[in-house]
Amino acid sequence: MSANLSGEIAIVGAATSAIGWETKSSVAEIMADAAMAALADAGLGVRDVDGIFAVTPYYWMPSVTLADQLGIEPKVTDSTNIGGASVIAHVGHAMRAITAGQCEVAVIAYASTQRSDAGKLVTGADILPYERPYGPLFPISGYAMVMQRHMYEFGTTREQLAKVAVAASQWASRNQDALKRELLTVDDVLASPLVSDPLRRLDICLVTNGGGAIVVTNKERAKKLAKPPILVLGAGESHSHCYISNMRSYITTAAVETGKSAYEMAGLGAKDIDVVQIYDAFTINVIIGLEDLGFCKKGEGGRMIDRGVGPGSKLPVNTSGGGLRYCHPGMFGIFILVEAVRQLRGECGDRQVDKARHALVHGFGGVFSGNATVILRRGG
Amino acid sequence: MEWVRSTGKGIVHTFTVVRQSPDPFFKSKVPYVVAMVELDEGPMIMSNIASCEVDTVKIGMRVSVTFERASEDIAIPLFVPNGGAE
Repeated sequence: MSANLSGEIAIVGAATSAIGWETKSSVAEIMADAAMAALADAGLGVRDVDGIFAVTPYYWMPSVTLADQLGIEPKVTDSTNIGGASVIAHVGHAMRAITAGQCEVAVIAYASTQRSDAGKLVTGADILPYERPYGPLFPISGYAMVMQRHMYEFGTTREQLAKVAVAASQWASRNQDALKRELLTVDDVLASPLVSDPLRRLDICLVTNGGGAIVVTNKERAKKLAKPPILVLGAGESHSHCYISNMRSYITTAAVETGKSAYEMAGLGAKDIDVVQIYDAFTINVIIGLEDLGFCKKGEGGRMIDRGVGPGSKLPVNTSGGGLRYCHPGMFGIFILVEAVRQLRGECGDRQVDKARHALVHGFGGVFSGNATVILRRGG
Repeated sequence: MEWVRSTGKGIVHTFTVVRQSPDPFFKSKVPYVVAMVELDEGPMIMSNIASCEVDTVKIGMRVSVTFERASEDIAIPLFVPNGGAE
């Protein structure tokens, strides 16, 4: 039996940096800028930091690069990479380190300039030699094959999947920082070109630059800082496969387990969650995520989308506009953490979810490979 | 873990039609089908479904292996339809 760490640490600062199509800054500069902004948000300075957690495909040792850029020598350092879910997993790692007394104030950060550098996903992913000769698009074809199987087994429709992008566009239209703010219709999505069937262009996330960071500390120190603490009530992490060839089933993910771990730690269930952030690199991710995280039964995700996940719906999902419409600098985890924090603080203006108390954040990495879930609550 | 000899027969478990590629080699081949083939012996293997129109590929379709010789040393296992789902 492990100690229950629920509510022992809090997110006290959150910030983004250089979200856009063009930048002259380096990835290290953007990570450091986001970290400094998140520290300022918390009312802390760089000298307070003794834990560094970072990930990016750009550097061999991301946490070391970030610490170098900030000019600090941390007591805890962690560059764990499980794909786009990494920084969400880092929250659990920071929870363990802080409650064990190994560090007190930790920065968790990510950045990428993939739009300016390549115009496409920049990734360190290796391709399995047994997949390479067949030409799957990484990671697009992996997600496409899950979408195809889900449609086959459960009758999930193209229209239901398109509605995920439509809801994202509705949220993005209310977010001044979103890079695509025009509203989409189901017809727009279905008229966009096929990339890897059944995935079409508008089922697929943006390719942008950007960085983000959060600051976490223990619950006592959190009470004395600038913003209301956002308590980390639950955290779970896992991975079920690395390569799509090894996926255990093409309809379900390790979100089942990471969600269960996070709910158990928090003493909560899906019914208690007011706002959901699921890493939407593709429209299918939201349907798979809602099912695997217990918001509906397996196979009913499409019908849940019919009931609505956009503004004014009973279960608001991806309130920033998500990777589909807000921004997507490659590993989106940090941006859904930042959005959850802003929702729970009530900072979201036109897209604010009324009475948001509990938020769930789930990241998918690789090809539904790495998974991490956290459950957050506004303190006090 | 043990080696098991496969008959090279199976069904399409799931698939995608790749319509575009940044890679010059695969760009010349689009559209093509990438599938997960469930072999009759159980394991899942990625392959292309060849020798058919891409829009005729369906989940559940029976397929059999064929080998495309890439060089003297290398042969790539591909799958072709058996002729209708069974």
